[in-house]
Amino acid sequence: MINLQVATQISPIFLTVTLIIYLIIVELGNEKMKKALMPFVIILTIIFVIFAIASIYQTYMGLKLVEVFLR
Amino acid sequence: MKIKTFLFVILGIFVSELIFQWNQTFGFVIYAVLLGVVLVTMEKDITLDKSEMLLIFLMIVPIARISELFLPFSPLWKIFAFYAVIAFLAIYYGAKFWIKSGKVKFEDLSYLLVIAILSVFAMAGSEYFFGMKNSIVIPLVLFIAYAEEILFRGEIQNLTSERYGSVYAVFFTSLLYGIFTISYGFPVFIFAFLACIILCVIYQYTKNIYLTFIINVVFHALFFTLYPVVPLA
Repeated sequence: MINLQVATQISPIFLTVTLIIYLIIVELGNEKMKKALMPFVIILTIIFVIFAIASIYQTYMGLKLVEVFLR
Repeated sequence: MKIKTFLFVILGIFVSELIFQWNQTFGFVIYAVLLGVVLVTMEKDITLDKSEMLLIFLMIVPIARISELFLPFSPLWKIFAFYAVIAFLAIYYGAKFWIKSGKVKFEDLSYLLVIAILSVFAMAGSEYFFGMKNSIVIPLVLFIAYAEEILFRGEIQNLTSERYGSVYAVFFTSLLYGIFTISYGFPVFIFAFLACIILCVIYQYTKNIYLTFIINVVFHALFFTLYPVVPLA
């Protein structure tokens, strides 16, 4: 069973900014840059999506717990 | 690319990794900048040469570190995902640049299937016959060995050997592998560096990646048994 735990010292804003900068480099760079950087961008995007889904899921579960508690 | 530039990049990865151990935020920023700068400097020519391919392979370690940081899993699954990133990038670039690891093609996806089937059998056997808990370590060891062999032996060592000669290839690959394991502490860094020298020398002489794969599996199995660095989930 995969346990979720979003506990990093670092803010996810850093990931977002890095991803945007790399996307800009891919967009402005030549064919070779695209070839070299694209897989890295794909990996970072997947990580970003996983992180976002886990955060939303945990927030939802937290809200649900609060709701049960308030009842 | 001159040997000094190559050494400078490895030094950059080493310093970034040290800073990463001290402060994750700073480490992340420095890794991201290093990766961006290295890739932007490649924009001079239109075609990729061998040294630029080598640079791309060197950048796989930073991108895996960056990815690992944001994975919201427990430690064991984090290691799995970390090596999945490495295996994906190594296979992708290996296929894209037509790099063959050793005499036979090792980066073929069918080997992953064989590893998966073997792992399922081993896990089932260990749980059924020996009542072993945490049998997920078995596929983990196989997968770690697979990913490491493709990247370090099959790609980085092969390219470094072609470009700078076998002595530099053995030394630089071992150094990079040592840096790769420095998160477990400095003694592990020295241990991994020395162990990787043995593996690299064997590979350099035999060019047989299956041999180093088996040695790597045994090495990791003993390592996890004797020195449980992985906090088991």
